[in-house]
Amino acid sequence: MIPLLLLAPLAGVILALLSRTPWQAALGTVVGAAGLLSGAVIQGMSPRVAAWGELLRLDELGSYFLLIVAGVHFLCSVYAYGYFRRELEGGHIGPAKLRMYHVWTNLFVLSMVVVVCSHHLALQWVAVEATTLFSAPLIYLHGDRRGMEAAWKYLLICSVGIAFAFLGIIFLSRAAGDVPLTYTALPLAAKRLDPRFLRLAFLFFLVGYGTKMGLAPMHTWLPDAHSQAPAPSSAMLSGVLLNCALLSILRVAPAIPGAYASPLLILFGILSIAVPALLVAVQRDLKRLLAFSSIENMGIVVLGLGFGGAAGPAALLHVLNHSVAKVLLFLVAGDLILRFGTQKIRHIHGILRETPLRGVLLFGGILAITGSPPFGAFWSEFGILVGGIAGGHLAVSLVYLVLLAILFGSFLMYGSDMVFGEGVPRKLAGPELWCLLPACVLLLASLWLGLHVPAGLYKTLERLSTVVAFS
Amino acid sequence: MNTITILLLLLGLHTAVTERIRPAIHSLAAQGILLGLLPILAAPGPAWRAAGLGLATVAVKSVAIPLILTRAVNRLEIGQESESLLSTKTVILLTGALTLAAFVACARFGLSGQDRLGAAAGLTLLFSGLLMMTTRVKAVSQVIGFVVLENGIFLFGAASGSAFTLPIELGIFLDLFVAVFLMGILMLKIQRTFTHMDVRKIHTLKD
Amino acid sequence: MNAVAHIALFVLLGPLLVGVVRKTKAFLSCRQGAPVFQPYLDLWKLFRRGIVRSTTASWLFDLSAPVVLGASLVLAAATPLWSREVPLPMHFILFLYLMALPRFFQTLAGLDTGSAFGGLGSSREVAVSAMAEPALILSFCGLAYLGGADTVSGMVAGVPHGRVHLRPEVILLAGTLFLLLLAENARIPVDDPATHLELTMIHEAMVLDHAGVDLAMIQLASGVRLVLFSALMSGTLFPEALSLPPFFAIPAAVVKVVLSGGLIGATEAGMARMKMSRVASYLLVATVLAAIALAVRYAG
Repeated sequence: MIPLLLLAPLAGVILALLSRTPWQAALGTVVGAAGLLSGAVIQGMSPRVAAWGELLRLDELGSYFLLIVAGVHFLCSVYAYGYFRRELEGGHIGPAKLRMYHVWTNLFVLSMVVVVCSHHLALQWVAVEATTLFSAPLIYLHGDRRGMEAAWKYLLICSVGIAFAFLGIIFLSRAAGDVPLTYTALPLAAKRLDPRFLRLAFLFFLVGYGTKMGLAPMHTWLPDAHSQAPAPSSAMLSGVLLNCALLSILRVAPAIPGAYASPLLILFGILSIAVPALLVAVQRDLKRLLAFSSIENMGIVVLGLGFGGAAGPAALLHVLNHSVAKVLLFLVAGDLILRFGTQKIRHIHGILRETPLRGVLLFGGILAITGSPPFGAFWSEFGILVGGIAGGHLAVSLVYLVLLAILFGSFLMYGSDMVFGEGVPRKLAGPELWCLLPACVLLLASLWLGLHVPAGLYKTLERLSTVVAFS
Repeated sequence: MNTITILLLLLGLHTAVTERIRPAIHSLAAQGILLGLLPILAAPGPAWRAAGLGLATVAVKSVAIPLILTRAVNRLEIGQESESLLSTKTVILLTGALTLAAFVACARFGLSGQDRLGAAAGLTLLFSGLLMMTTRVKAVSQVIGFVVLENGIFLFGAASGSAFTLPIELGIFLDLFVAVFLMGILMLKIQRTFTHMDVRKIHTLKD
Repeated sequence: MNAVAHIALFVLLGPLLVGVVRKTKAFLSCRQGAPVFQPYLDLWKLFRRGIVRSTTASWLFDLSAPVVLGASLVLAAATPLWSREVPLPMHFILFLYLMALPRFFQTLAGLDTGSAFGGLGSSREVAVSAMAEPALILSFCGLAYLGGADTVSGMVAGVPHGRVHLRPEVILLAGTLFLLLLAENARIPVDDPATHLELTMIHEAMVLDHAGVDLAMIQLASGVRLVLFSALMSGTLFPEALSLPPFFAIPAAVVKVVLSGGLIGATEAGMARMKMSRVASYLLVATVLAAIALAVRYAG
């Protein structure tokens, strides 16, 4: 199964390289994405663990993350077809660059699949570094100044972060001795490994992969990178790349004593929620705003994992909820930006009057990402709060609640500014099916997750949270 | 082994302190050669594997990366000076302080003898690289700092005696190479759009 | 008897070392240069000349040259050159103070003459040596750790002999000592001993007003100090040479001195003198290297 999963994005790369027009490349990407998605679904439904040699192994946790990657990739590839057609017509991008977009995107997805399927932690490291390298060209795809600046910061800061993570791997291998550095072997041997090195390793993993994840204070690259990339790439960067970085931290978690890890996670988590809460009020760029929201949500996940207990499954659920809502928002934002011709928030208003569907999508997305009912994120954020209180972290939970409220207010302010109000009469373009369809799917998914969390999902998440629980 | 470690330490310090770009690149090349000797001396396992690793290290660190950097320096027409936000004396002092901190940290951590020397030297290179990346003005110097950082990690790993399987190690080298390659390309593109390489002036994106 | 022989060897080798340095420099600059033994002839010439003394100079000026020579000879008595035993085992802190003593007197003498050059040279020289102090102290401390002894002779004699791979802290310390040699003895790249231009003099400006016997004594003393530093440096690198019986040790000492002379000459020929502001960085580097040598020792 795993070779097929790797083959799908690889096929996308080859098709993109062989294609003569960007549309063939786009088709190739969609086909590859469909293949990946079907493979992920099939694997997800089967109870067996897929393995390929000693290095690659797809267990339940991996399947969960893989489904998110595949689903998002599929929706984004469909969206990209419509989005880039309009960009091409508008003259924002050339056909050669568009082909390269598909090449890089498929390579990017390939590396993410390897991250998710990795059994050996050092291989996972190589794959995470590869994701950085393959996504950097996507950020400066348009070739403008800001894209360069963002890509430079991204490449430099994430590479330093990855280097720190590698230091963590060195510490881990020092602690492990003869034990192979796989996520199945390490937890079993955890008791007899040198605790000092394990702790150091976890710290460096957290800082290193946390940089990639966008945890504060290592988040400085994220707003730039996610706002300068084209919309489908931003969606994938925010929606799945952050998850992959999270997975890398989760894989080593079972070997680390909880008493050491939890305070660290709580610290980084609350910091990552606080920094966006402070900065969100002064944002002028729509995609930058969404990028800060990603930082915040990753902070929420990490906070939940730090709380442990009942907050564990909620944190994993929030991974899904965030991906759904964030991708929705980025896709809608990309569409709106093309329509209004600007990324600045104050130039975008009156959406509901002009195009009701987009207005609903945007407002729904904002409600979804801030965790208000009836959308799914409400349950995950609430679950984390409950877990925090139950675990005795009362002060932190209170701060968490306050920060969430601040963020909710800020986002609602921006959302209502953009969605309601007087519209400026402009040339009405036809409804762009390929752009809107994925967004609608995502909105419905978020709604579904909010109204009715499937029992099977919750049981799975509970199982998974014991898998990643600290020792 | 000790001698190589000390030489690496001195070369790393030289890279961090020197005021011109070309000597820094030459230092990198020298570091690469020394690092290539390390697997041959230190790694367990069959000799051909160690030799292969050594060759890969030298190929990437002494040949490929300095070539990319030199090409960038030549094409970009940036000056010979590697400007820094801090004065040279401050950099010397800071680097010295970081070296001592690294040694103390390693001693605190219970390593001893040759291990301690290698680990401390690795940490020193890591910190020096980080210092370069944060305080240097020209983008090329930042990339050089990144390579020094990676060298430090490599040295640290070699001192710890970690043994990965061959494909993973090759993957690591590939990552390093591609990273620097991409940085080189990005530098060229930045040059064309910005017409300068001063990262102090790159701050159009901010809150 | 041994003490006299020891000091006499230093006195004899001093001008030789200066001559070797000059010859190497000339040779590497594609010149013929003065003969190697020229400094002996210069000294002979100077000793027979009279002194011209400034009218404003006091007893300090008269005292400075003999003090400089005397202190240097006392230091020479404490430094191992050809054997581990020295006539005057000396604690290294006292050694360092005794190194500072002649400089103190020379500085004052430079000011005493009332000429602008003297004051200029004095202030610059003091600045350079102030910056070199931490490096000196740290490297001597490093040597003390390495050799496991307090006295200078004990230190050098105690340097461990492992030669399979020359121990890293030894190399570092020897390197630092070399850097300090160049700084303390007013060699390029810190100071040009051959220049007499106002803008570029440091040490030379200070001794500009000395003549005749005074100048001879000062030049002899600087030669002795050069041999002293070379002895320290080569003793650190090749401690075995100190264990040889005198028959071999003395020629070995001469060889060491000549080799150091070659090294110094090559360095002088290969570099230009640094700007004053960069001298500070140079000495800072020497300090940092000495500190690292200490750290490495601590690590091992």
